[in-house]
Amino acid sequence: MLLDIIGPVIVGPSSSHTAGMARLGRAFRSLLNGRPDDVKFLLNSPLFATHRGHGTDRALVGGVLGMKESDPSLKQALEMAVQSGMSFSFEEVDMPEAHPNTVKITGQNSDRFLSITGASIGGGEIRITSIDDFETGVNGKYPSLILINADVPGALAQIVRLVSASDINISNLLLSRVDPYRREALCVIELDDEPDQDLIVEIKKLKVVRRVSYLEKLDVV
Amino acid sequence: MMTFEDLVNTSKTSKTPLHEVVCEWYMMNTGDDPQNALKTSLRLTNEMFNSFEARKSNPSKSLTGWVGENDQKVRNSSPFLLSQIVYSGIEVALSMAEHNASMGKIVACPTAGACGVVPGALISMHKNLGKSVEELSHSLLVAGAVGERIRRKASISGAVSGCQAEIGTATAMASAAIVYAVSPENYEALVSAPALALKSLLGLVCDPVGGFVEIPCVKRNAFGVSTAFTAAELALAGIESVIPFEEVAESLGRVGRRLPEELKETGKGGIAVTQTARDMLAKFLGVDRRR
Repeated sequence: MLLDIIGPVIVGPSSSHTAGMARLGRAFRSLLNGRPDDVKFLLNSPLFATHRGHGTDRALVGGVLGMKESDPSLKQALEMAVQSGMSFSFEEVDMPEAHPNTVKITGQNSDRFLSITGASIGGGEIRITSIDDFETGVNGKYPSLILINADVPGALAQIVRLVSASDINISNLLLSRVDPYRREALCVIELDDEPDQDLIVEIKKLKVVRRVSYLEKLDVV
Repeated sequence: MMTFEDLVNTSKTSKTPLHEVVCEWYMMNTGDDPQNALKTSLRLTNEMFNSFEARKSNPSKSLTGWVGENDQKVRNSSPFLLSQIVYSGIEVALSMAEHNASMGKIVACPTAGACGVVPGALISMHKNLGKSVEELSHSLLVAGAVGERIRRKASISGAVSGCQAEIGTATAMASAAIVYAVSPENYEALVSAPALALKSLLGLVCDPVGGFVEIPCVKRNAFGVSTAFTAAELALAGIESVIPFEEVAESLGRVGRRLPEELKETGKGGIAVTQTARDMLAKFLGVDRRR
């Protein structure tokens, strides 16, 4: 990007309906930590209405296959998914409260099931509004750790101590109570550098941590 | 807050080339090294040339099949009326816009729908005036400053402000890029050209058939680049814009806010609701249902 006005370098035809969708697909793949065996895309009605003419379907599937929004092979993504044995489907869902360009992606591989909801908010930028039904607001601009932790004294300190020991700078941090009854909080830690797998494993081992998702930086070209 | 006129005045009084002033301004905004702006601009300029070459070697149709052959028609013909520089600009603009519509790789400038206008101006000046890619990357920085000021004063999104914000912004950007390439120290022309260009397109509505970035978007890129050359020519002849650029940009925002939703990328107004457009869309969606 230059001055926030020229770029990104993307495959057309629409930064919101194509590039942003490829990025949402890639976010799903990153959070699942690999390719799903089958995946379903639930498109908000306005998005569904134009999805074929904008290549939204190809972009979402291509993203899940790991293609970047600048990769011209996005155009052949549906054929490539079939060849690689990944099954996929598209459905229209009415989400009147959500951003018009919102998609819910659900899918699974042998390890786990994952569900995310995200919106393409313009210029190829995205916001992931929920992961496995927990509300978030991550945008993929930083390598991000998304944790559900016990809402008890000292939980954040334990988590941050591990990050600190790995010598990675925290760029942004959000801690928010999400479930007073189950005493659970959402913690989003955005980092300046990619963490190594060991750090994620260490965080998972903490007793105060219930769940860990990791979203890689979805870099802009 | 620096206006575009401030940037041009700084260039004039400090005797620093305008694109270097823009790099410094970029640094003040982002904290990034000014050298990075130069490098990014060169890379993006090269990407534009690459897209044009990619399109020529793979001229496929759009996903709907509605567009995809306009660029070849211009490429295989020769000008009856226009000068070669404008004609080349049109050829490139159509190529980029059709490449975008067929899922080719492009540089959004400022958006994907308007991605043909600025490359049209730059690549034509490379072919017809012998401007180097590096020189053109400096022009692109100046274009970026124009676009960034419009973004801050109004919007560059068709859904927010109509096509005036997309093709209009791209045309203003291209006109400044053209002036900077041919007469980089003509400070009056540098501030007049984008104002003249933008004024000529105020009120342009966003009414794409079916909501797709095809009709009228592709051809509007061609009109954008020819208007950019006209605005640059007027400014270089000494014509000043009576209304300064920043005030025109403000007006764009005001007009955009008053435009009804039907005329802001919803596909529910303008040419999108004509009988022909409805028939085309029904046919495409009918094909879709049978799939």
